[in-house]
Amino acid sequence: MPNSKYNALIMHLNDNVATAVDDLAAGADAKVKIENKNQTIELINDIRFGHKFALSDINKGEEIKKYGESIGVAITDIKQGEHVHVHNIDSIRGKGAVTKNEF
Amino acid sequence: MNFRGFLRNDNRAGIRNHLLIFPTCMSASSTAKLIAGQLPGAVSFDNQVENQLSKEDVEQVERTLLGFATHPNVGAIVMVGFGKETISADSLAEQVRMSGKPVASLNMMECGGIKSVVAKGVQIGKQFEEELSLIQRVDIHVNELAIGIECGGSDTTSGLAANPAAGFASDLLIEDGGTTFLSETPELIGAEHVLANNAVNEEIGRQIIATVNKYEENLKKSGMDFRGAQPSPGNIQGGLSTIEEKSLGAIYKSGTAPIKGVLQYGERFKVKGHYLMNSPGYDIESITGMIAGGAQIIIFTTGRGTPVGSPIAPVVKVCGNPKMADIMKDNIDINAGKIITGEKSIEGVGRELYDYILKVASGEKTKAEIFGFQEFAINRVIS
Amino acid sequence: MALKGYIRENGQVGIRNKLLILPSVLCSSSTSAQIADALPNVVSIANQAGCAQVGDDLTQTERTLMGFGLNPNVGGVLIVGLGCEGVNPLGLANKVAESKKLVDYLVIQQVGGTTNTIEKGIEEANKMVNAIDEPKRNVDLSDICLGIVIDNSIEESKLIVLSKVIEVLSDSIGVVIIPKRHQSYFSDAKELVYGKTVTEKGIYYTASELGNVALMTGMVASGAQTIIHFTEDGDPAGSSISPVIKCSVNEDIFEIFWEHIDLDISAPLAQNNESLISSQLLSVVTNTINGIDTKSEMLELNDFAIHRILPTF
Repeated sequence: MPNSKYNALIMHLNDNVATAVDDLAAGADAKVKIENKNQTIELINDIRFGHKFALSDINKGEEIKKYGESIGVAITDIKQGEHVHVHNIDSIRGKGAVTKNEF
Repeated sequence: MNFRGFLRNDNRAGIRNHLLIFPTCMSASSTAKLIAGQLPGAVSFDNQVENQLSKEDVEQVERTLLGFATHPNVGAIVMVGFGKETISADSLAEQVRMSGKPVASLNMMECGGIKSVVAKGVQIGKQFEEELSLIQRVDIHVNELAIGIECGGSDTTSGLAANPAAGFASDLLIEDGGTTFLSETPELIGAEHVLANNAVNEEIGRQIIATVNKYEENLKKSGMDFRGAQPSPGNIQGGLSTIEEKSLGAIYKSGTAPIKGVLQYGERFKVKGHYLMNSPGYDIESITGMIAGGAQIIIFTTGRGTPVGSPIAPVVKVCGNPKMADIMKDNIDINAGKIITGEKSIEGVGRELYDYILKVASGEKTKAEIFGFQEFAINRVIS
Repeated sequence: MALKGYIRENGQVGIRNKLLILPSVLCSSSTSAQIADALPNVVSIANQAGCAQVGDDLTQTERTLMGFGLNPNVGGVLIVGLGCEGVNPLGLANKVAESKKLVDYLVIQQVGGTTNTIEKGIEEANKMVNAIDEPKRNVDLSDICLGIVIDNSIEESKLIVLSKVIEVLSDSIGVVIIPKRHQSYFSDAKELVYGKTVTEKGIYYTASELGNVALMTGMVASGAQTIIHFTEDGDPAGSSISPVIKCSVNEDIFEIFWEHIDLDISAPLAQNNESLISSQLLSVVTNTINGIDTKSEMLELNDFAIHRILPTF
């Protein structure tokens, strides 16, 4: 989508992450759309289509908000523009012992 | 508004007129397959249920099998039993007869071997096919439609595009007086409070929360972690990080209509409206449960694309990821990726989907039907 | 009588030389079947699991699928995955490839839809069928792993004779796997985890209280090249990669189901004639090893079910 005015979406005004709708490169500016406003965030990592990045600095232990709701908790400090995924956030729900694969 | 369907003797509306070769247990499955193989127009399924069942399991298995056997998309049935199974062909056939459908019950022990059962099954099947060919489609009001809504092979676009479009279509059918099922209890974990707020009353809201809590408790009892299973490796690759994120995206397929009640796995609804069915996140098991519960058609939202179908109900694939909608175009009926690219609105795709569903209800074949995909799996109670 | 089989790179002995189209998940099972149906001597399995599983239940499914790929009757394996399932098709391929047999994989979401996958799958399978073609060589009964399935309904007096028969068979056959329910008859039987590959000769018992097909599936995954099913009820269950020898212990059932039962031992069983039964069975096993189809192979009775230990989530 080279001609789009935006390349990332926010689902709710309270969210602290946005979702990339194109493959975005580290160092580039993400153009984030929410309702009729656009915001620009400089990316720290490559963000692939469908993946999330932080809209502001998030402290370890802070909740990650998407759709205006909690989707988990930060397990490290996360910088604005940083990739937000399984390496730095964790579920609050559905936890027990970790399932290990046979291979 | 009407669609063109098959009105059955028990007044239920079918959108297909299948001859179903129905194995009652594992020991009859291969034989049923041999019969179906000689009847190109017939459908069948692989029944991997053992002959003998535990007390906890038998109820759910029987409910599911019976839901298939009496389903309005099925015009006639050749029931194939082994002869020593817990749920016998004769008992199932008896209940099918009460629904007014032509049904034959073949028991391998009584018929004397595979070849004679196959010969008899093929002979009866051909007669049934002739009878079925005489039944015409008639005008039926859309409020007789029941849609099961499933999501699978999800990525982040599922919550952004495909699920909201499915929710929009669900709302349209509810406005027209029909029935829709939300499903997949584990994919409500972390979003149940949002859904409960959308229940028709506080009691149903409490039931929704209790159903999700019980599922989570069962998981904890198994001592195991959801991570690894939910979100699945494919979900994670697609950008979904946690079960909560997956769930919050998943409930968009519920639309805005209030939830009228919680149905058990495979349980038939009695009053038209919008329901939650307590089913697993495993697509085929969940779809099988909703069809048993009376869904004549399935909306299957996806991000990564999947080929699966069902033996007796059309499965409509709605893909939210524009790239995968193109790569998997063989298997995708509706491209909801246009919402992501900004070419279409959620409402636009939702209406396109609803129009397509009415066409499929009147006989248009989905991609999974054209490929002949007939996946089947029952959610088992294992303790 | 000389025995002929296929000696694999890792020294294992196959009595059939099948190309297995192995679906990692239910979602790719129909696609796998359509590829297998297009070519002779290519088989598939109806995997109804492979996703939304946790813990030991997931590892048991993975172990079973891997075991099917590793079974010595399989000369080559084409794994077909969807691309988002819990059982990783690439991981499965790598594990099976450790046996040095011919392995490849296709992932529907990467190849791009059904038509492309089936087209590519048939093309690939065709090449692989030719590549695994090899002559049979001399092998020995000690190279054989035999699975024994026994209907739950068989009465105690018959079981006592059958256990003596199994003892005799185990004198010449390398590995014998029996259902756990009957372990008390065999003092030297060792426990075998469901679907785990057997590496040392001897008698093993594996999880029972299951349906016959789940039991057979576990034994084939453990490496059984053939199965003897002692049947009271006449259950027709068969396997796509290991010939099942149906052996009736009930004359009435044999009369009904002679089309799919290879042998009726009800008369010698009533006379407690275990040596006659053993020699009859060894002769059927020998013929089966040497390539004569069992009745369930002729009828193409291919059943598959993994023993599940937790529900799907």
